[in-house]
Parts: sequence; C-alpha cells; structure tokens
Amino acid sequence: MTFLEEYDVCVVGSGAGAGPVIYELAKAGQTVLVLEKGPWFRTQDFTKDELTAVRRSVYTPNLKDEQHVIVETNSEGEQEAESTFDTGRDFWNGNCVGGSSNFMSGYFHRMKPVDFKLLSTYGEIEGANIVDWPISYEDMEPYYAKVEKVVGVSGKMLKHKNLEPRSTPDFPYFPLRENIVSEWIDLAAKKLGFQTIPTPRAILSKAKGKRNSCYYSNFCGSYGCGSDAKGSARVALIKDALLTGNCYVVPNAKVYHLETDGKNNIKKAWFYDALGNKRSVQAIIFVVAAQAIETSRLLLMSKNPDFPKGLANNNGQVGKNLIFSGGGTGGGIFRKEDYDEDTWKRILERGVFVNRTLHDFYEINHPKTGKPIKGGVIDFLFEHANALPKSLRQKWDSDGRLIYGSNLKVNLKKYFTEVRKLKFEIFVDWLPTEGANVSLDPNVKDKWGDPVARVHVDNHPHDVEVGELLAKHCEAIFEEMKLKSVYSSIGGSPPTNLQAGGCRFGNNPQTSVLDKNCKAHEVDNLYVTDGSFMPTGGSVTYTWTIYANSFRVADEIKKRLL
Amino acid sequence: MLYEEKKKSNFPYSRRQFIKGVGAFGVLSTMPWLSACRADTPVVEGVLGKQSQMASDVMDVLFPEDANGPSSAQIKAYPYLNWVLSDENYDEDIKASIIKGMSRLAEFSKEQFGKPFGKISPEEKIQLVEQAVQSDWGETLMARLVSMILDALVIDPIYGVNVDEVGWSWLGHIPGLPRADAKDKYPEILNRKKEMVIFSQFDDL
Repeated sequence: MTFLEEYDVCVVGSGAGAGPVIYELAKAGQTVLVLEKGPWFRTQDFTKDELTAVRRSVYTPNLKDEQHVIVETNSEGEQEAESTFDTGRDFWNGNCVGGSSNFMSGYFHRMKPVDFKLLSTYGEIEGANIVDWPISYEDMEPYYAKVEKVVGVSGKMLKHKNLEPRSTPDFPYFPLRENIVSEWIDLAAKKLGFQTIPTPRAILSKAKGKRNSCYYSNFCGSYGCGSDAKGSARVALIKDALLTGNCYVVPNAKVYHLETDGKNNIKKAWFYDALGNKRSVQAIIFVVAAQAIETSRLLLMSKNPDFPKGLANNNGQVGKNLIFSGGGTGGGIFRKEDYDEDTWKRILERGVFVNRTLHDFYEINHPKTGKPIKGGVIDFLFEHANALPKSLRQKWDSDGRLIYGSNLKVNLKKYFTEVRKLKFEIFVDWLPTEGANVSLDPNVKDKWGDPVARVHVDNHPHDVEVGELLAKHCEAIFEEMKLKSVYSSIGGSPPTNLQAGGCRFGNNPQTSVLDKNCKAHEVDNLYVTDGSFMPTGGSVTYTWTIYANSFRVADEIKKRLL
Repeated sequence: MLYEEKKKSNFPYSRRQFIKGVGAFGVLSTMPWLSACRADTPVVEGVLGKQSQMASDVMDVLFPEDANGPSSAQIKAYPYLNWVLSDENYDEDIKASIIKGMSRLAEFSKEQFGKPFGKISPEEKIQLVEQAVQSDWGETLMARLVSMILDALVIDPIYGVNVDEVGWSWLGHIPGLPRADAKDKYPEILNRKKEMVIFSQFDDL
C-alpha cells in the first residue's frame, strides 16, 4: 500500500491504550494509521527463549540507543541523576506492535468506586497531590465489561465485601487451571478471617475466534504468548482492526513532533522511518498512547510559537504527577523435606496458576488514628519459572559474599530441586507528588538526536506505610501455610512496568492536561489514551483500566467523526 | 540489559549446611557428568587473546568438575564468554570490565606467585581466585564470570552451551515451548527490528 494523503485518525503507539481506539474506529469505517516505534513481531516470532526474552534488549530498545535519565533523592536529600544506560535500570517495557501488553502477566483488576473519588472520600494527605477523577466508576463500568468480553478475561465472580458493582453476573471465560497451593491459600486465609478470590486474568481459558486457549507454557509474564490466549492489543484488537481493511500499521516509526496549524489543531505527525528518514502524515484526529513517560516526552518535544513549552502545555501541566504503583513483594518457600512424595509432585506441577487475590484490605483503618485509609490488593503467585534469575540469586550468600565452586553447585541443585517459592505482590496507591514528573533532559539525546525523557522519581512515605501494613497480613497467611523463610520487601522504588500519569485529566484546564474525555484542553484534535490520563492510580495494576478508558474515549471520538 | 547487582541470597540453608552437603554429594561419584572428559586441550584464542586460556581455567575453578554436577567445560562456558565479548550489542562497560579484570588477574598472579598464570599449578589457581575475590576488582570480575557460567548452564543449547541439555537435566528445569530455532534466536531475531514494511494483511499479524 501507499500512504493516503490524510487519515481519519493517526494513533501514536499500539499498546493497551491504543488498541481499543484502533479497533473501534477501524470497525466504524474510519481510516486509522498506527505509528509504532518498535518492530512488528508476530506470534510465531515469540519463543520461550530466556536469553531473547529477558536477558537481551530484543523487545525493548538497546539502552545505548535510547535511554532515560532517572533523578532520585539520595539519603542526604540531594538529587542524583543517572542514565539508565549507565545503571542498566531499564524503563522500557516492550517496544513493538502491541507494546508491553504482549509481555504482561495479565493480572486484571478493576478500580473500585472509591478510586474515582479518593480526595473526597479520605481527604488530603500532606505532600500528595490527590484529586477526584472527573468521571465516576459508573461511567467506566460498561467499558470494564466490554474488555472482559472483547479482550477476554477469565475468572470467577465471588461476592466479597469490597466487590465493585458489575453489570454482568460473571466473567465470560471460566478460570484457568490451578495448582494445589491455591486451595491451601484459601484455607489459611479463611482461618485468619480473610476471603480470597480467584484472580481474573486477561488470558483465555477457551478459544475465542482464531485465538487459542492458554496452553500453560509456564512462561507467561515477560514472554510473548504462543497461542494468542493472552489479551495483548496486538492479537485481541489490532488484528481485528486490520481485518476491516481500514487500519494500517507502520512499525519502526518513531514520532518525534506533532505539528500544529496555528489554530490549536495538530496538522501533521512527523516521524523517523526505519531508515531514519523524516516523514509526516496528516489526520483529522491524533491519538497519543506511547506509555506515560514517552507520551509526556513527545508533547514536551512538540514545541512551536503557539506552544513554547510543549504541545498542550501552556498551563505547564504536561509531565506532572507521574505515578507508578506502590507496594512491594514478599514470599516464602515450600521445602521438599516437609512433604510426602505425592504432595511434593503436586506442588511442583508446572504451568498451572496460583491465581489468588485478596481484596479484604482495599480499605483499612490506620493503626494509630483508627480512621479509614485506602489500602490495596494482594496477588499470590509462584516465583517465575525463569532459570537465570533463580540461578543468579544463588551466587551471593546472606552476607553479600560471592559463592562459587562446589558450594555454588550444591546451592543451585538444592534450590532448583528441593524448593519452590510462593510469592505475594502488594499493590497500593502511588500517591502523586510534585517531585514525580517527566521533563526533557538538557544533555542526553537518543540515537536520532532528540532529548531523552528525564524522569524524576519520588514516592510518598504514606505508600510505604500502607504497603507494610498489608505485608503483615501476607506474612501471616504464609506462616499459617507453614511456609519457610517468609519475608516481605516494601519500598519506594518504582516498578517500571506500571507507569501512569503525566497528562492527568480533569475539569479544570489550569490544573489538568486533558478534559474528562481525554481530549487535550488546549488542542482540539489531540487525545491521550494510555495511562497518562490517570490522576491517581488505584491500588491495582493499570492495564484493565487503560483498556476500558480507551474504549470509552473511542466512543467519544466516534461521536465526533461519525 | 545486564548489570551486576549484589543481591542477598534467598537460599534458606546456612553456609555450614551446604558445606556439609558437599561432603554428602562427594561420595556420589557415579554421576553421569563425571564420565565426561575435562577439556584439557588449549582453548582457541578469542577476544581475550593470550588471556583466553586463563579465562577458561578460572571458569573451571569457579564451576569445577566435581561430583555435584556439570562443569564449566562441559557447558561450554568459556566459548559462551567469548561469544558475549564479541557481541556488538552487549553492554560495552561490562565487556570492558571483564577484559580489564583479566589483565589485572594476570598481574595478580605474578604478584602472588612470581609467575604468570599459565605457569602456576592447579592448586595455585584455586588460591589465586580465593585471594582475588577478597578485593573489589577481583570479586567484580569473578561475579561476572560466574554470571556467564550460569547463563551457559541454563540457556538453550541452541547457543552452543548447556550441551545436550545437561544443565537443565541436572537442575530438573523444563524449558518453555516453543523453543527458538536458528532464525529466532538472538541476535538473528534483531533483524526483524530492521524491517520497514507497511502491513495491512491480517494473516501476517
């Protein structure tokens, strides 16, 4: 095909925030051009090769070519800036068609009604920039339900005290198969007065069209799916969009500038093609969904006389209030010596999931004040089957000394054959603060010569406090299960795969970048549909909400175009 | 992206317990990996030039032939190291650190034993590694070499390591499917990233 002169919609990015817009508008008969910075891996390109998937920069850029500068405050209160190229701390999450949704684990939780009105429910927290959302849970609910059906979410609806309202009685796909330890978690939790529920997953438990069901490969998160059971934007949405004949995807197209016409409209998107040539494309509507950090970066790079501080940034809000997901992790181990042979085999059963979640602590009482505060969600899972991280962890002893030689070999053999680790992951709000934001680095450039994103990371102490409160409950459950070496690790380090904010939506054009429909206040034909719009993140992983919101915004764009 | 980060071991056994374990395993001398011949032939010089043999010997110390499982030589750890050091996409700082560290180790041998590494006995090589890990530079070097060995132990044999899946078999590790073939393995898969085509055919997705 050749380029059209103008498209109805140009979408920058192709991950979870982009997929629903691409799907809905192409199906509605609109011409949609997708500009994706990364390559186009097909399902058959995704293998379970650990070296490719997690030890080399294959699904993400080489940090030599594209990096971030991370600014954090050290223990002396001084700000330190370090390039991710120097530290190896990678903030990329999957640069290819479908984005990081190809590599997600697909733990799907809806936000709850209270997450849409955090400020009015719990009040201000000093040092945190909390606001209510301009929409309610009721506005979003139909789209959560739509994601369950279109993207495909498996699970089983059980009533519990913090269950969010649902318009459908149950999930459209039954739960995935489980390991025996799932029952043990249920029993231990029940004994302590807690209620576990099966974890909803964006993974098909039965075939859907040409997508096959899960084949329990044992290598899910961080890997592309071999059966298309995982609900990536690539297979769940973009594939159907292409079937309409209205959608065109350009891989290896890095957008670097959005040009406006002097009338608060974007006229062209400029991008580098795979050969480094500068090209441009025109459209009526532009949608940016490049993941939070890169979306802010693109708007900040798109300066012109009308927008001297960057596109849609005359109020200075672009890049502000960046959030991640607060909380942490922990675990405990099953030891072979503690079980009979048959039970041990069942513990080791590979591929099947743990899939247990606790919502009991979504709201808790502060231990000192007794007042209700926002808590979070806890997921239970096995340690990832990747052999390399498990191996590498055996080379240091508890005093931080290198282990090598026969001792290392004994260590490895025992860990791989006599131990299985069960983990928990805690998700609490990462409160927005003034200190967490995205700007353009004045010195470091990417391989095209453009300034890289300078990411200021800041976390509120409240996040860690809440995370630690929840961790105590997790440890209690693991102790009840008689697991050994139970530990937890809660901190303020950001999980780089859970990023949102930077272009928060709101009703006040002075304090937000986007309106309630995720259209830029200052630009008439610009929408942002990745996690950037979120002013607060809830205490869950973001992907389901990003998908749902993108479906919601797609409806708004359709109203405008049709 | 690789970088060396010291992490506390989650291993639940005490140091005393696993030293004891060495003895227990030590009597099991009929393990299949013991029947494999140690690579006594000189290694082919690679990126490390004349220090190639030293690198191979040090890796043998770090992951020796013993009764506990496959050795560095069996899993082809040194050829893997050489491949990594030749990889233009691999972290230049880590490659430079290893190359510099090996030069430092060569000097250290002369300092400790008055002889080049190639002239010291197997026992002295073990002592040299023991002494080197007491220093920051030595610990960093050895930690990186151990990482390379562990890569060679558990990544897919398609990379010329983990020969006959000996590492997987030893650890009871079952790889995921599908496994990579010659066109899908690293770095060949990077060629996909250079394609510039506008696709509109759904069958290709």
